[in-house]
Parts: sequence; C-alpha cells; structure tokens
Amino acid sequence: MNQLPKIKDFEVPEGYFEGLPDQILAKSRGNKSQIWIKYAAAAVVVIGMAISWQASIFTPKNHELTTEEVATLYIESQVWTTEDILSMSEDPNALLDQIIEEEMPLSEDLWIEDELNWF
Amino acid sequence: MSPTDQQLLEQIRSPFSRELGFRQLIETYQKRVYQVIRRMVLIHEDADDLTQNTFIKAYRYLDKFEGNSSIFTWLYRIATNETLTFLEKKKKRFAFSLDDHQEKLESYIDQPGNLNGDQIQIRLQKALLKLPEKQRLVFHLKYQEELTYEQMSEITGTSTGALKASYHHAVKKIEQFVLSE
Repeated sequence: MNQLPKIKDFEVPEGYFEGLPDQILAKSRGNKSQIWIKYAAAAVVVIGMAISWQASIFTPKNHELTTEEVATLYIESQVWTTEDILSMSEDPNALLDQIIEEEMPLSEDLWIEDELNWF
Repeated sequence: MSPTDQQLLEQIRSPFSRELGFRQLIETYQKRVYQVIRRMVLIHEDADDLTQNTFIKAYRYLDKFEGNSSIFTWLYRIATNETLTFLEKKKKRFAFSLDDHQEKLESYIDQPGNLNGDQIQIRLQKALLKLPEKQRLVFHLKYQEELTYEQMSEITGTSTGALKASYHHAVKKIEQFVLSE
C-alpha cells in the first residue's frame, strides 16, 4: 500500500468554486421562502375544497371522469404498461424514486445499522 | 487566513452577519467537501448536487449545531450521509433498469479527460469501485483525508474498532486487485 500514490483531486469546470457559494446561498434563501409558499398553498387548497364542497351541495353530480380516473382505468386494464407511463412522465427518475420509496423505504439514517455492514 | 470555527459560528449566530458568515463557511470548506463526495460518486454533476445539498442542510440546521465537534466533522457527516443515501437510491433505481451503475462508473473512469492521472490512478479508482460503498468511504477518510479513527468515528457514528477492521479489509482487497492486474 505504501507504493500506491494518493488519489489526485478531481478537476472541476473553470470558475466552479467561485460561483458555488452564490448558488448555495440563493437556494438556501429559496428554501426558506418555499416554506411560506407551502403554507399559502395549503391554505388555498383548504379554501378551494370548502368552496367546491359547498357548491356540490347545490349542483347535480357530474359523472364525467377526471384525467386521473381515466389514467387509473388505463393502468388497471393494462392498456398502459410501466414503460408507457414512465415515457409519458416529465420526470421519470422522480417517479421511479417515488415508487422505490413506497416499496422499499429508506432508513432515515444510514448509519444506524449493524456494524457488520462495514466489512 | 481561514477563520476559526469559533469566529465563523459567532458571525453566523449574529442576525446581522449570518449570511456573510455562512458564505465564509462555504468558502472555507467547499473544496474538501466537494472532493470527498466526488471520490465516492465520481461524476461532477452528481458531486455538485450533493455538495450543494450538504451546505443547504447545514444552513438549515446551523442553529442546532452545538459545537461539540468541529464544523468540518459535522459537514463531513452531512456530506457522507447525503452521498450514501444517493448511492443507495441509485442502486435501487438501477435494480429496476437494465443498466448497471457500476459499469457506468467504470466506463466513466476509462473515458479520457475524466480522471486527472496516469494508469496507476485509473487502476486504483477501479479497485476502489470494487469495494462496498461504506468500505470505500472508510478508505477515503483514512488513506486520502488522513483522518484519525476518532474523527472517523464521529463522522460515521461507528466504533473505532469496526472502522479499523473495515479499513484493513479495504486495503487487502485493493492490494489484491492492483497486484492481480
């Protein structure tokens, strides 16, 4: 092992480290405002649901299927395969991650594991 | 001269200089954090994402940092957790597709211009790819970063005994791989 060299540092695109603090700070600020946006969005959804619930009391039921119901029908009747759905998605990776999370949830902290895993 | 941890924390805890202090923290540690992540994930774009996530999480939880360990140890802990979670996700995602993440990384090493080094560097990188992720991380922290087992224990939350054994196994496997080629 003594004869092996240290691994050299990886090269980065020119100016990468000069611009990195600004990018991180912008995203950190963005994250803070996103929390407020989430609360605002939640409030809008609740108000919207309340209004539509009230409206539904006074209007006859609409039997037209929603887009989501149509999609579910296509999936359940196996007209669409998994590949079809992934190819229609704007972000198939995120969809895959979601499926994986649901089917194989990640442990919250990877370090809390049996030490045997280190060998 | 780089500011000390104490100076950085004082700046960050004051509402008037929080952002300036955090900027200094990024500038002080960004290269080390980036390199430790990049050695694990190899591809710049992935390392970039994970480095940014590490600092964003640090920013979010800075108020909870009590200063029991150094900032650098704390940042490394976040970075290594982010990296291992990322690699775990990749592994699971690739289990759904025909591509193999391992093969993708090996071909990345072979592409000219991606690695800064000669044949022995490429061999060493390929040997490292054969190791389980956590063992690879232990190897990097010890061999490359020259951390003590106590520091590594703080970062990984694992006993020094387990880390010593893990490093020993990693070295043996790398020697075997390099000699067999």
